[in-house]
Amino acid sequence: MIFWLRFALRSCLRRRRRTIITLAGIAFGVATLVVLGAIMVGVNDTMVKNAVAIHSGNIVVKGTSLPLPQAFTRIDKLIVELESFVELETILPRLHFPALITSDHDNSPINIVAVDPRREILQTPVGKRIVVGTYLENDEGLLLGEVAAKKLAVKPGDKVTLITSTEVYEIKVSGIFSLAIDAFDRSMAFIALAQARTMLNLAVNYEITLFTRSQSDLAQIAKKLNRKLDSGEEVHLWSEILPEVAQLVKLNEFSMAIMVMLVIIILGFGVANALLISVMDRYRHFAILKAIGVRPHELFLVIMAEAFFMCLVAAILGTILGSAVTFLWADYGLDLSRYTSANPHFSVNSIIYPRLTPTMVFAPQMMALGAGVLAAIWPALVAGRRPITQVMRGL
Amino acid sequence: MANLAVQIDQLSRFYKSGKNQITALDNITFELETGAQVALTGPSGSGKTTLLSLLGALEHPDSGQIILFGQNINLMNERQGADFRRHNVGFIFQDDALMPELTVFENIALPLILIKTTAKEIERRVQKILADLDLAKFSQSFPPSLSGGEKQRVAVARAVIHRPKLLLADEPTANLDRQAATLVLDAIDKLAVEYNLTMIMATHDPRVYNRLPTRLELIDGKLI
Repeated sequence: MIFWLRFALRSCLRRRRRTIITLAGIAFGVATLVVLGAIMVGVNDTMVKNAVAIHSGNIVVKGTSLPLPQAFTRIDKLIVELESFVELETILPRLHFPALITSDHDNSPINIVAVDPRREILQTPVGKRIVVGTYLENDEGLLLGEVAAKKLAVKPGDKVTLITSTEVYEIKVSGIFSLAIDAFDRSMAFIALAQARTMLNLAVNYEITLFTRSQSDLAQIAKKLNRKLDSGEEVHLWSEILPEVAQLVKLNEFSMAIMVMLVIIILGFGVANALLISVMDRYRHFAILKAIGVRPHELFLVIMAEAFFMCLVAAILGTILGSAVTFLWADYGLDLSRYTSANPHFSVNSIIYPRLTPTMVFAPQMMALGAGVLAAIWPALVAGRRPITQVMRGL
Repeated sequence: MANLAVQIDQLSRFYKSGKNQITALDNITFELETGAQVALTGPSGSGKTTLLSLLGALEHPDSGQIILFGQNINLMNERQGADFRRHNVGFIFQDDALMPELTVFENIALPLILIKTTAKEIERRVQKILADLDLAKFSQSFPPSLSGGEKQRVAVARAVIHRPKLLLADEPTANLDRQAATLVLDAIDKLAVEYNLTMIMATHDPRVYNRLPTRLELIDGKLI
């Protein structure tokens, strides 16, 4: 067995040109897959980051409906507890309640969100997308979306009426924002938490929106969070809040898997071709070996071992090459702003930063190795099955 | 009867070439005693290589029987045939029959490795035969660096290293110059006597078959 493995290894080394060409083909394919995989992960990261940055965060702790004072007490307590989580980058307390906003011109059903403007502006884009007016300056006023403001025909300084299920309030419009997302700009309005505390007297839903540090294990954080929560409070990951984005990520991963499969199949044919040519070149030698008494399964082993050695080295080289390219590229990123400028408001970040994940590093390597060895079966069978006498006559 | 190495009885072999059937061997019968050294002569296409292939259990006859050292090799399957060759048969081909990925030492050792000889015994036997055939200096060389004559002497060493009972040689000097051919034939003679080999050498070179005591001639697949 060891003799035949050494024989196979020597054969790879002695047929240097064939080995290098085959090896380079496989290594390049693996490297390409590693880089493309890293880009796909980067695209997904950016897509998720942009999507959650708009409003939802990576994780949301949702509470039940409570009277306003209890909601504030609970929020304050939760913030203190969550500040001990090192994985969390930003903690955004929020209250929300539905209301009908009326103006002299029209009315519109809106989801009012009470936020801490100083925390929000650091993380979410609303404060940076003010079209007219100001962003909850001095913790006062109502921030309306552009679509809703148009419908209500209001501008900063105008007063509107908020009709809730139990109370009616008058409030001045402080500013108008536009994220260029119709549903958001139509149905969302913001007030400051400080104003909500003094102005409102109604039951509200409270929630804490959390932004995690990059590469954090969300499921693990959610598990830890669950231990800190009261009954009725729930932890939701971004994928539950934004299922359409989660679906896009899955779709992207599936597309990548198809591409990996296609490249691997092409690699497999390349390996089969290289080995078959090599076997055909060596028919005479295999016939001599059989004449000496070598059994077909030993020749099969030699060819399979050759394929294994070549694919193993190529897969390792390809992974190193792909990882190195990704590593160098990860610092600069891939600037796609030329292609995403159609919606400048939406695009929080148009630069894709390729990222290596264990799956995208090792899957192409393992698959190339597996495909290479599988592809060698046919040439290996051919090597063992060719009748000796056919070849002997050509000796 | 106990000394018979080869018993061939009414042996025939046909090949198909398109719709035509070619008779490679036609009802051949002969016997050889152990230690016999036979030249198998005849023009190209007379059936020499076919007869060697059948004797080496590389293929089966269409009719007739081959008994080598008491074993009917017609009845052997591929694996049994390989095992029989490992232990009992040595082949010498015209040329280019060494494995380029193995050193001279490893090429010669190959038959011993196949029959699972100990490393120590392999070392002993190979070193001896290398010395006997004046090949010791090439022990760690690879075949492409050897001359045609040197390669063929290595092939001779490989064919006999495992002490086979039967040595089959197919035109072993056909591609060599006179001097190299003489060295190869001397090596074959020396080892055949030393190991008491039964040898059948296909050739159409009078300088070769005149060295051997027995001659079988094939014409159009028939022994004459």
